[in-house]
Amino acid sequence: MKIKLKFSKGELFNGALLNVCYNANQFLSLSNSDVNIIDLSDCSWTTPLSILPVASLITYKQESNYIVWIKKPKASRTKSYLDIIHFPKGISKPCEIKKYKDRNYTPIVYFLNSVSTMRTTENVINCLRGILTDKIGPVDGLADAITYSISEIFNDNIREHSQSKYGWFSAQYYPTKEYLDMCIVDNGITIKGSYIAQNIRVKDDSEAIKLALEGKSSKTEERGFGLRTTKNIITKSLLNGKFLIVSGSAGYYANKKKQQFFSLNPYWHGTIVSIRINKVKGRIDIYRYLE
Amino acid sequence: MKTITRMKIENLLGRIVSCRQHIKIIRKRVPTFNEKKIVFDFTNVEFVSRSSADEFLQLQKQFKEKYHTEIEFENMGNFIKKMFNVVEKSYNINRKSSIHIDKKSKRLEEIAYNF
Repeated sequence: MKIKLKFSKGELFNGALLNVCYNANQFLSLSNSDVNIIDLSDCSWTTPLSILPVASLITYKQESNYIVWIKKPKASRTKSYLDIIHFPKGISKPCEIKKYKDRNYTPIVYFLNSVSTMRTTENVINCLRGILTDKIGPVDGLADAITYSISEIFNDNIREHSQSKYGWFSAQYYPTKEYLDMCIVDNGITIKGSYIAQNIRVKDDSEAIKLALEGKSSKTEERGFGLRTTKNIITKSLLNGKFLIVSGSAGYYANKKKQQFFSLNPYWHGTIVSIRINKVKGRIDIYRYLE
Repeated sequence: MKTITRMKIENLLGRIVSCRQHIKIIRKRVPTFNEKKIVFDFTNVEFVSRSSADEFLQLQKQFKEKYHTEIEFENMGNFIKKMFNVVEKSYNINRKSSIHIDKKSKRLEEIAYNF
Protein backbone atom coordinates (compact mmCIF):
# COMPACT_ATOMS: atom_id res chain seq x y z
CA MET A 1 0.00 0.00 0.00
CA LYS A 2 1.34 3.40 -0.94
CA ILE A 3 -0.09 6.73 0.09
CA LYS A 4 0.97 10.13 -1.13
CA LEU A 5 0.62 13.00 1.28
CA LYS A 6 -0.05 16.67 0.59
CA PHE A 7 1.53 19.67 2.26
CA SER A 8 0.65 23.35 1.94
CA LYS A 9 3.10 25.88 0.71
CA GLY A 10 2.80 29.48 1.73
CA GLU A 11 0.53 30.94 4.38
CA LEU A 12 0.59 28.46 7.19
CA PHE A 13 -2.92 28.37 8.57
CA ASN A 14 -4.57 28.94 5.22
CA GLY A 15 -5.55 25.59 3.83
CA ALA A 16 -3.11 23.67 6.00
CA LEU A 17 -5.88 21.97 7.90
CA LEU A 18 -7.45 20.69 4.68
CA ASN A 19 -4.23 18.82 4.02
CA VAL A 20 -4.15 17.50 7.58
CA CYS A 21 -7.60 16.00 6.89
CA TYR A 22 -6.57 14.72 3.49
CA ASN A 23 -3.47 13.07 4.96
CA ALA A 24 -5.41 11.55 7.87
CA ASN A 25 -7.81 10.09 5.33
CA GLN A 26 -4.92 8.54 3.43
CA PHE A 27 -3.72 6.77 6.56
CA LEU A 28 -7.08 5.01 6.84
CA SER A 29 -6.18 2.94 3.81
CA LEU A 30 -3.00 1.49 5.32
CA SER A 31 -2.94 -2.24 5.89
CA ASN A 32 -1.37 -4.18 8.74
CA SER A 33 -0.71 -7.15 6.46
CA ASP A 34 1.23 -5.23 3.86
CA VAL A 35 4.28 -3.00 3.49
CA ASN A 36 3.04 0.56 3.64
CA ILE A 37 4.92 3.38 1.93
CA ILE A 38 4.32 6.93 3.03
CA ASP A 39 5.28 9.01 0.04
CA LEU A 40 6.57 12.46 0.98
CA SER A 41 8.49 12.90 -2.28
CA ASP A 42 6.53 15.98 -3.37
CA CYS A 43 6.76 17.63 0.00
CA SER A 44 8.73 20.85 -0.36
CA TRP A 45 7.43 22.79 2.64
CA THR A 46 6.26 21.78 6.08
CA THR A 47 4.90 23.59 9.09
CA PRO A 48 4.24 22.35 12.63
CA LEU A 49 0.53 22.05 11.83
CA SER A 50 1.15 20.08 8.65
CA ILE A 51 3.93 17.75 9.78
CA LEU A 52 3.12 16.93 13.40
CA PRO A 53 -0.20 15.11 12.79
CA VAL A 54 1.55 13.02 10.11
CA ALA A 55 4.43 12.24 12.49
CA SER A 56 1.95 11.13 15.15
CA LEU A 57 0.05 8.91 12.72
CA ILE A 58 3.23 7.22 11.48
CA THR A 59 4.38 6.56 15.06
CA TYR A 60 0.94 5.27 15.99
CA LYS A 61 0.87 2.89 13.02
CA GLN A 62 4.42 1.67 13.66
CA GLU A 63 3.59 0.97 17.29
CA SER A 64 0.50 -0.92 16.12
CA ASN A 65 2.82 -3.28 14.20
CA TYR A 66 2.22 -1.80 10.78
CA ILE A 67 5.22 -1.92 8.49
CA VAL A 68 5.74 1.66 7.43
CA TRP A 69 8.44 2.92 5.11
CA ILE A 70 8.90 6.59 4.44
CA LYS A 71 9.80 7.85 0.99
CA LYS A 72 11.65 11.03 1.79
CA PRO A 73 11.13 14.38 0.02
CA LYS A 74 12.94 15.01 -3.24
CA ALA A 75 13.73 18.55 -2.15
CA SER A 76 17.03 18.23 -0.32
CA ARG A 77 16.31 21.12 2.07
CA THR A 78 13.04 19.57 3.17
CA LYS A 79 14.61 16.16 3.47
CA SER A 80 17.41 17.42 5.69
CA TYR A 81 14.95 19.53 7.69
CA LEU A 82 12.84 16.44 8.45
CA ASP A 83 15.99 14.60 9.53
CA ILE A 84 17.06 17.47 11.78
CA ILE A 85 13.68 17.69 13.52
CA HIS A 86 13.75 13.91 14.07
CA PHE A 87 10.71 13.19 11.93
CA PRO A 88 8.64 11.13 12.57
CA LYS A 89 9.33 9.77 16.08
CA GLY A 90 10.80 12.90 17.64
CA ILE A 91 12.93 13.17 20.76
CA SER A 92 12.18 13.66 24.42
CA LYS A 93 15.45 14.22 26.26
CA PRO A 94 15.97 17.81 27.47
CA CYS A 95 19.73 17.60 26.78
CA GLU A 96 18.99 16.83 23.10
CA ILE A 97 16.28 19.47 22.81
CA LYS A 98 18.63 22.14 24.21
CA LYS A 99 20.82 21.72 21.13
CA TYR A 100 18.14 23.59 19.13
CA LYS A 101 18.69 26.78 21.09
CA ASP A 102 20.15 28.64 18.11
CA ARG A 103 17.73 27.35 15.49
CA ASN A 104 14.43 28.82 14.40
CA TYR A 105 12.61 25.57 15.10
CA THR A 106 12.35 22.91 17.71
CA PRO A 107 12.63 19.23 16.94
CA ILE A 108 9.53 17.10 17.11
CA VAL A 109 9.22 16.53 20.84
CA TYR A 110 7.23 13.67 22.24
CA PHE A 111 5.96 13.43 25.79
CA LEU A 112 5.32 9.97 27.12
CA ASN A 113 2.08 10.12 29.01
CA SER A 114 2.93 8.28 32.21
CA VAL A 115 3.40 9.18 35.86
CA SER A 116 7.06 8.15 35.79
CA THR A 117 7.90 10.73 33.11
CA MET A 118 6.32 13.76 34.74
CA ARG A 119 9.61 15.23 35.89
CA THR A 120 11.06 14.81 32.40
CA THR A 121 8.04 16.57 30.96
CA GLU A 122 8.57 19.51 33.31
CA ASN A 123 12.22 19.67 32.20
CA VAL A 124 11.20 19.57 28.55
CA ILE A 125 8.68 22.36 29.06
CA ASN A 126 11.38 24.39 30.83
CA CYS A 127 13.69 23.78 27.91
CA LEU A 128 11.09 24.82 25.31
CA ARG A 129 10.30 27.90 27.41
CA GLY A 130 13.92 29.00 27.09
CA ILE A 131 14.29 28.27 23.38
CA LEU A 132 11.00 29.85 22.27
CA THR A 133 11.19 32.93 24.49
CA ASP A 134 14.58 33.75 23.01
CA LYS A 135 13.08 33.70 19.52
CA ILE A 136 10.20 36.12 19.99
CA GLY A 137 11.32 38.01 23.04
CA PRO A 138 12.73 38.64 25.43
CA VAL A 139 9.73 40.51 26.78
CA ASP A 140 8.55 40.50 30.35
CA GLY A 141 5.81 37.91 30.80
CA LEU A 142 6.39 36.19 27.45
CA ALA A 143 8.04 33.14 28.97
CA ASP A 144 5.01 32.67 31.20
CA ALA A 145 2.63 32.96 28.24
CA ILE A 146 4.52 30.25 26.36
CA THR A 147 4.95 28.00 29.37
CA TYR A 148 1.31 28.42 30.33
CA SER A 149 0.07 27.50 26.85
CA ILE A 150 2.23 24.41 26.46
CA SER A 151 1.77 23.15 30.00
CA GLU A 152 -1.99 23.66 30.21
CA ILE A 153 -2.60 21.98 26.87
CA PHE A 154 -0.24 19.13 27.54
CA ASN A 155 -0.77 18.53 31.25
CA ASP A 156 -4.39 19.55 31.64
CA ASN A 157 -5.71 18.13 28.41
CA ILE A 158 -3.47 15.42 27.03
CA ARG A 159 -2.07 13.95 30.23
CA GLU A 160 -5.19 14.09 32.36
CA HIS A 161 -7.95 13.50 29.84
CA SER A 162 -6.88 12.18 26.47
CA GLN A 163 -5.71 8.65 27.39
CA SER A 164 -3.19 9.08 24.58
CA LYS A 165 0.11 7.28 25.05
CA TYR A 166 2.03 10.24 23.65
CA GLY A 167 1.69 13.95 23.18
CA TRP A 168 3.70 15.59 20.41
CA PHE A 169 4.99 19.13 20.16
CA SER A 170 6.64 21.11 17.40
CA ALA A 171 7.37 24.80 16.86
CA GLN A 172 8.80 26.99 14.14
CA TYR A 173 9.72 30.67 14.25
CA TYR A 174 9.49 32.67 11.03
CA PRO A 175 11.95 35.57 11.42
CA THR A 176 10.84 37.59 8.37
CA LYS A 177 7.18 37.35 9.32
CA GLU A 178 8.02 37.64 13.00
CA TYR A 179 5.70 35.01 14.34
CA LEU A 180 6.00 31.66 16.03
CA ASP A 181 3.83 28.64 15.21
CA MET A 182 3.38 25.89 17.77
CA CYS A 183 1.44 22.67 17.44
CA ILE A 184 0.48 20.04 20.02
CA VAL A 185 -1.09 16.76 18.95
CA ASP A 186 -2.42 13.63 20.59
CA ASN A 187 -4.04 10.42 19.37
CA GLY A 188 -6.36 10.06 22.32
CA ILE A 189 -10.06 9.73 22.95
CA THR A 190 -10.92 13.33 21.88
CA ILE A 191 -12.49 15.98 24.08
CA LYS A 192 -15.93 14.48 23.57
CA GLY A 193 -14.55 11.08 24.58
CA SER A 194 -13.08 12.51 27.78
CA TYR A 195 -16.47 13.95 28.78
CA ILE A 196 -18.21 10.67 27.99
CA ALA A 197 -15.59 8.80 30.05
CA GLN A 198 -16.75 10.88 33.03
CA ASN A 199 -20.42 10.22 32.26
CA ILE A 200 -21.05 13.73 31.00
CA ARG A 201 -23.49 13.73 28.11
CA VAL A 202 -22.22 15.58 25.07
CA LYS A 203 -24.13 15.77 21.81
CA ASP A 204 -21.19 15.95 19.42
CA ASP A 205 -17.57 17.05 19.01
CA SER A 206 -18.54 20.71 18.49
CA GLU A 207 -20.42 20.80 21.76
CA ALA A 208 -17.48 19.10 23.50
CA ILE A 209 -15.05 21.76 22.23
CA LYS A 210 -17.54 24.45 23.22
CA LEU A 211 -17.79 23.05 26.76
CA ALA A 212 -14.00 22.84 27.05
CA LEU A 213 -13.65 26.44 25.89
CA GLU A 214 -16.30 27.50 28.38
CA GLY A 215 -14.16 25.93 31.08
CA LYS A 216 -16.28 22.90 31.90
CA SER A 217 -14.02 20.20 33.22
CA SER A 218 -14.63 16.54 32.59
CA LYS A 219 -13.57 15.95 36.21
CA THR A 220 -14.69 18.55 38.75
CA GLU A 221 -15.96 22.12 38.77
CA GLU A 222 -12.62 23.37 40.09
CA ARG A 223 -10.97 22.43 36.83
CA GLY A 224 -11.26 22.95 33.14
CA PHE A 225 -9.65 26.35 32.64
CA GLY A 226 -6.73 25.26 30.47
CA LEU A 227 -8.07 25.62 26.94
CA ARG A 228 -10.25 28.61 27.70
CA THR A 229 -7.52 30.66 29.34
CA THR A 230 -4.88 29.63 26.80
CA LYS A 231 -7.17 30.72 23.98
CA ASN A 232 -7.75 34.06 25.72
CA ILE A 233 -4.04 34.68 26.33
CA ILE A 234 -3.15 33.86 22.74
CA THR A 235 -5.90 35.85 21.03
CA LYS A 236 -6.68 38.73 23.40
CA SER A 237 -3.27 39.75 24.73
CA LEU A 238 -0.55 41.70 22.89
CA LEU A 239 0.47 38.39 21.34
CA ASN A 240 -2.42 39.05 18.92
CA GLY A 241 -2.31 35.41 17.99
CA LYS A 242 -4.38 32.70 16.35
CA PHE A 243 -5.80 29.65 18.08
CA LEU A 244 -7.00 26.52 16.33
CA ILE A 245 -8.30 23.32 17.86
CA VAL A 246 -9.48 20.15 16.17
CA SER A 247 -10.97 17.24 18.06
CA GLY A 248 -12.85 14.35 16.47
CA SER A 249 -14.97 15.70 13.65
CA ALA A 250 -15.09 19.33 14.78
CA GLY A 251 -12.82 22.31 15.05
CA TYR A 252 -12.72 25.85 16.34
CA TYR A 253 -10.67 28.81 15.23
CA ALA A 254 -10.23 32.16 16.97
CA ASN A 255 -8.24 35.34 16.59
CA LYS A 256 -8.76 38.74 18.20
CA LYS A 257 -11.65 39.64 15.91
CA LYS A 258 -13.50 36.44 15.17
CA GLN A 259 -14.19 32.90 16.21
CA GLN A 260 -15.66 30.08 14.19
CA PHE A 261 -16.68 26.48 14.77
CA PHE A 262 -16.51 24.08 11.86
CA SER A 263 -16.95 20.44 11.00
CA LEU A 264 -14.35 18.38 9.24
CA ASN A 265 -14.03 15.11 7.47
CA PRO A 266 -12.41 12.70 8.15
CA TYR A 267 -12.48 12.32 11.86
CA TRP A 268 -9.24 13.12 13.74
CA HIS A 269 -8.67 10.43 16.37
CA GLY A 270 -7.48 12.77 19.07
CA THR A 271 -6.92 16.47 19.45
CA ILE A 272 -4.77 18.98 17.60
CA VAL A 273 -4.05 22.44 18.97
CA SER A 274 -2.23 24.92 16.78
CA ILE A 275 -1.18 28.35 18.00
CA ARG A 276 0.43 31.32 16.31
CA ILE A 277 1.88 34.16 18.34
CA ASN A 278 3.42 37.33 17.02
CA LYS A 279 6.68 38.92 18.07
CA VAL A 280 5.86 41.45 20.74
CA LYS A 281 7.57 44.50 22.13
CA GLY A 282 5.35 45.24 25.11
CA ARG A 283 5.00 43.41 28.37
CA ILE A 284 2.61 40.44 28.42
CA ASP A 285 0.45 40.09 31.49
CA ILE A 286 -1.13 36.63 31.27
CA TYR A 287 -2.75 37.04 34.66
CA ARG A 288 -5.30 39.47 33.21
CA TYR A 289 -6.68 36.59 31.16
CA LEU A 290 -6.79 33.95 33.83
CA GLU A 291 -9.98 33.36 35.77
CA MET B 1 5.77 18.28 70.30
CA LYS B 2 4.59 19.99 67.15
CA THR B 3 7.15 20.98 64.56
CA ILE B 4 7.63 23.14 61.50
CA THR B 5 8.55 21.28 58.34
CA ARG B 6 10.10 23.10 55.41
CA MET B 7 9.85 21.58 51.90
CA LYS B 8 11.76 23.05 49.01
CA ILE B 9 9.62 22.87 45.88
CA GLU B 10 12.60 23.21 43.53
CA ASN B 11 14.09 20.01 44.98
CA LEU B 12 10.79 18.16 44.88
CA LEU B 13 9.36 19.30 41.55
CA GLY B 14 11.91 21.46 39.73
CA ARG B 15 11.74 25.07 38.60
CA ILE B 16 8.67 24.63 36.41
CA VAL B 17 5.63 23.25 38.18
CA SER B 18 2.93 22.56 35.64
CA CYS B 19 1.50 19.15 36.34
CA ARG B 20 -1.40 18.65 38.72
CA GLN B 21 -0.57 14.98 39.24
CA HIS B 22 2.92 15.90 40.33
CA ILE B 23 1.55 17.70 43.35
CA LYS B 24 -0.61 14.72 44.23
CA ILE B 25 2.61 12.78 44.53
CA ILE B 26 4.19 15.26 46.94
CA ARG B 27 0.95 15.25 48.92
CA LYS B 28 1.95 11.75 50.01
CA ARG B 29 5.28 13.04 51.30
CA VAL B 30 3.77 15.77 53.42
CA PRO B 31 3.74 14.68 57.08
CA THR B 32 0.27 14.64 58.58
CA PHE B 33 0.86 14.15 62.31
CA ASN B 34 2.15 16.53 64.98
CA GLU B 35 2.91 19.25 62.50
CA LYS B 36 2.24 22.80 63.56
CA LYS B 37 3.19 24.24 60.23
CA ILE B 38 4.43 23.10 56.86
CA VAL B 39 6.28 25.61 54.70
CA PHE B 40 6.49 25.16 50.94
CA ASP B 41 9.53 27.15 49.87
CA PHE B 42 9.31 28.37 46.26
CA THR B 43 12.86 29.74 46.05
CA ASN B 44 14.13 29.48 42.41
CA VAL B 45 10.75 28.23 41.13
CA GLU B 46 10.06 30.15 37.91
CA PHE B 47 6.58 29.07 36.95
CA VAL B 48 3.55 27.45 38.53
CA SER B 49 0.64 26.59 36.25
CA ARG B 50 -2.93 27.46 37.07
CA SER B 51 -3.87 23.86 37.71
CA SER B 52 -0.82 23.34 39.95
CA ALA B 53 -1.63 26.47 41.96
CA ASP B 54 -5.15 25.12 42.40
CA GLU B 55 -3.72 21.83 43.63
CA PHE B 56 -1.46 23.58 46.17
CA LEU B 57 -4.37 25.63 47.49
CA GLN B 58 -6.59 22.56 47.76
CA LEU B 59 -3.81 20.86 49.70
CA GLN B 60 -3.57 23.85 52.05
CA LYS B 61 -7.33 23.81 52.65
CA GLN B 62 -7.49 20.07 53.23
CA PHE B 63 -4.61 20.05 55.71
CA LYS B 64 -6.16 22.85 57.70
CA GLU B 65 -9.55 21.13 57.85
CA LYS B 66 -8.36 17.58 58.33
CA TYR B 67 -5.18 17.84 60.41
CA HIS B 68 -5.36 21.43 61.74
CA THR B 69 -2.00 21.96 60.11
CA GLU B 70 -1.13 25.27 58.52
CA ILE B 71 0.55 25.18 55.12
CA GLU B 72 2.39 28.36 54.20
CA PHE B 73 3.90 29.38 50.87
CA GLU B 74 7.16 31.31 51.04
CA ASN B 75 9.64 32.98 48.69
CA MET B 76 7.27 33.10 45.75
CA GLY B 77 8.20 35.34 42.85
CA ASN B 78 5.70 37.97 41.75
CA PHE B 79 4.33 35.89 38.88
CA ILE B 80 3.74 32.90 41.11
CA LYS B 81 2.03 35.06 43.71
CA LYS B 82 -0.24 36.43 40.99
CA MET B 83 -1.15 32.94 39.84
CA PHE B 84 -2.13 31.90 43.36
CA ASN B 85 -4.18 35.09 43.76
CA VAL B 86 -6.00 34.46 40.49
CA VAL B 87 -6.90 30.93 41.50
CA GLU B 88 -8.03 31.93 45.00
CA LYS B 89 -10.29 34.62 43.60
CA SER B 90 -11.77 32.23 41.05
CA TYR B 91 -13.27 30.00 43.73
CA ASN B 92 -16.04 32.53 44.30
CA ILE B 93 -16.74 33.41 40.70
CA ASN B 94 -19.32 31.83 38.47
CA ARG B 95 -17.89 31.37 35.03
CA LYS B 96 -20.01 32.63 32.19
CA SER B 97 -20.03 31.31 28.69
CA SER B 98 -18.59 33.52 26.00
CA ILE B 99 -18.65 30.94 23.26
CA HIS B 100 -21.50 30.63 20.83
CA ILE B 101 -21.86 27.87 18.29
CA ASP B 102 -23.17 29.16 15.00
CA LYS B 103 -26.26 27.09 14.29
CA LYS B 104 -25.21 26.97 10.66
CA SER B 105 -21.92 25.30 11.55
CA LYS B 106 -19.65 25.58 8.55
CA ARG B 107 -17.65 22.92 6.87
CA LEU B 108 -13.88 23.27 6.96
CA GLU B 109 -13.76 23.46 3.17
CA GLU B 110 -15.84 26.67 3.28
CA ILE B 111 -13.60 28.56 5.69
CA ALA B 112 -10.16 26.94 5.60
CA TYR B 113 -8.63 29.83 3.67
CA ASN B 114 -9.99 32.50 6.01
CA PHE B 115 -8.04 31.57 9.14
